[in-house]
Amino acid sequence: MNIRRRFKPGRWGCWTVVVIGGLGVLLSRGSAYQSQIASRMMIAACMAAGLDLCVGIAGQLSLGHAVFMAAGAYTCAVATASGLGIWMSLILAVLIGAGGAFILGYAMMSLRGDYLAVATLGLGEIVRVALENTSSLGGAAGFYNIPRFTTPPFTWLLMLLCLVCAVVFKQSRPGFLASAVGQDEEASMAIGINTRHAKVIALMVGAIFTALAGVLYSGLNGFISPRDFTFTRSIDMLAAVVLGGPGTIFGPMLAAMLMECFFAVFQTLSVVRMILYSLALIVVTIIRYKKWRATS
Amino acid sequence: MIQCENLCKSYGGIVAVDRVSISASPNETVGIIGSNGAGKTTLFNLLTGFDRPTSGQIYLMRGGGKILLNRLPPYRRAKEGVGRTFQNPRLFGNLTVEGNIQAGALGAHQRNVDYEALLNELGLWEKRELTAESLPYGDQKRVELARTLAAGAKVLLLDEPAAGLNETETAALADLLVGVRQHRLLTIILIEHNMDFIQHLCKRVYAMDLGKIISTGTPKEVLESPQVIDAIFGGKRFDAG
Amino acid sequence: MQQLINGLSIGSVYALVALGYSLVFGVLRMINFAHCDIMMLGAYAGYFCASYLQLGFILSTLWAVLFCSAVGIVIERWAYRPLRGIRGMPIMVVAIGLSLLLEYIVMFFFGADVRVYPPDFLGGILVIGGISLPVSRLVALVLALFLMGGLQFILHKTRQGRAMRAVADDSIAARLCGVDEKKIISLAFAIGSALAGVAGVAYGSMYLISPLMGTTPGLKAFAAAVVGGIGSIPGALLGGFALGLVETFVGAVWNTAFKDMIAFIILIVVILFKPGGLAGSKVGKTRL
Repeated sequence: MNIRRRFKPGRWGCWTVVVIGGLGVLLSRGSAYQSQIASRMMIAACMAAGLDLCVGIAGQLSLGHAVFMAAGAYTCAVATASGLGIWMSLILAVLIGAGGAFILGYAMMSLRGDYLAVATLGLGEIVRVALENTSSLGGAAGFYNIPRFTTPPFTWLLMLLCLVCAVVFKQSRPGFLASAVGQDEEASMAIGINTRHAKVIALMVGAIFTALAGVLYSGLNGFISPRDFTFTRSIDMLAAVVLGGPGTIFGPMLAAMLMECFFAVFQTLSVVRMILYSLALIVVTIIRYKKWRATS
Repeated sequence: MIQCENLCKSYGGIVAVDRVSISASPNETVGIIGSNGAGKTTLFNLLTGFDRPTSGQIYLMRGGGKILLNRLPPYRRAKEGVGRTFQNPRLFGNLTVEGNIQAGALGAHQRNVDYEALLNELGLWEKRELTAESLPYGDQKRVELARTLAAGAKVLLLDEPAAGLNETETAALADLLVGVRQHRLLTIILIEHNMDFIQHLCKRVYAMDLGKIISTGTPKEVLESPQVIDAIFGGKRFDAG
Repeated sequence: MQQLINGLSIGSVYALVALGYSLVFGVLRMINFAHCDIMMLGAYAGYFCASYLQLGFILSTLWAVLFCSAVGIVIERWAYRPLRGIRGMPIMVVAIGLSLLLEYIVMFFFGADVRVYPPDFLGGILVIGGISLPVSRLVALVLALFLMGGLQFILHKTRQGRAMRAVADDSIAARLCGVDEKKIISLAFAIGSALAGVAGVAYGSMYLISPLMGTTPGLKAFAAAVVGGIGSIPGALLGGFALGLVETFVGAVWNTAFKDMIAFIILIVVILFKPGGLAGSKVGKTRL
């Protein structure tokens, strides 16, 4: 069966991700600031990979993916505060992320495109407001005193793990089915694919990566707050996926890393960069999809 | 064999399908004709699960047992062997011909699909490595058919299979369908506007108008029935020229 | 009683914005994500006119309306029209991009901090029977009702309005009847954006304005539109006012945090269980 051959994501692309991450790790020896940037880059890459499975492969537009990141981050925070080790917290966070995705997936995956987007957006807002008002989780002020276990090499390893798992998923049977659903849902139904199932699985696996990123994020500064998981975060992820090339996995990861780097370096021009960034989103999307329309 | 009894579908005040009962048996090709808006595609949507009937039953007979299809979603019906093609072929554009067919097999959990034989049967062997979206229209339709067969369809619902094909292609398609049907003992129901095609292929025909079946019988009988001539051909007799 | 007026006035803001969502959805079957930012533009345009140009209430609102209409038409022409006919995702991405673009352009010119309309814009409090009613809220309410009446008139009594309803109902049939779809779509955007502009000025005069102010009320207005039945004009009206009242009531009885969540909770519940909303339009769920 030569499906695998068709689905191998560009080898160059994947190695580029690995190398850039590795470079980041090496360079981070320089200063704490650089180390922060390197870690952030790779955390962003994990999030982008997670969202890519949902958006790029399964074709389901989720505007609230930050909730999975928040799930991972807060679970880790609470777990470490309760005395569980870092690895236990990690596993727990991942399980909760996947569980959440399972529930949300089955609830929402029957919704049409724009409705799903808005529902996920609404969900993101609800979760954020809920977090702000839950004092046991720190409320609006945030959760402090999380052990700072996120180092660039550790992040790099986890990022590689995400990359490998995502690639394996894409070439596996569930990944293939999700991809079919993403291309044409009705045709997929007509040939016997349980589309809801396929979408939920893609969402779950993606949520695992995103939750993982959340865990790493909580260990970055030892402090998280609802402000870290706003709609803007979800949009950042989405932009990485769209600009990097939905469905390719390495594309969104690279885009996320570059974006994170760019933002860190050009922080002073933050408003201008947002303007350019949103223009880029618009223009790139129009050009890319306008070509599709012309050829179909 | 597939059959439906007293199938009805209304949208608000509009009755799209009105107490329709049809059936089709293995190694038989049944045609459905009617003007646009008569309810043919709606009927297909009901049979394949893309729409829910307001009332009526849909049954699949297989190996001595009767399966009620009403509550099954489309993918389950596809797994039970009810396959369909669409008016405009809906392929997975980025995949190759072979990839599309493999998708059909994978989706429906079909093992032991003989891809080589299937590709050869449909004349697609040389084209198997080409991307689906680069193929000409006629070939795309064949790929869609191959994919549906790979998914294990025993009952084929074809929505205007000859639409957009020229005379040569239409004739080739007709021969192909006959061959495939006999080889695999398929049940074929097709919607068509091309009356030559219908006459050539179908043992029985149903004519629909405004959601109802207005005539049924052999192609000759139906095409000569006065109601059909009135409703579908606007008063002119169809000449098999 | 005080709360009733509050609820109705915020409800009228929601209703105005919701009308925009419904209008665009009706003719284009898409959700204009950037709509809430047009409302924000309206608020800022009004602010600009009132503060910098010292124009009065009427002129400021007028300019805001014209500005927003123009922006709406430009957006439709350059950002949405090239992607006409493509399913879901790319359009949403473009809409989000537009939303961000508008927000940050405003931020560039006006800074991220919060602004307030000049106090003499619509200031003053009417005291009737012991209840104090801010003039701004009353005016917002009255204006909104007036505009909605006007919209109903346009939709039912003018040629363009009827053409718009035809396109919303069945665009192919409408085209066959000679309706110029492009013009009607532009008109829908223009009207929707104009209404959003008014909503922006109203909201701004009642509360504060900031570049990111559009998102929350905008989403709530979208929730209102969905609850009332997306694509349905009376539905948008109903949904908007209902949401305004419910929200104010919840805020008064419980705490304010819950008030913010209630709109989204209702939205999700409605989307999941009755996507057609109260008016029962047939969109939302994929087949089976």
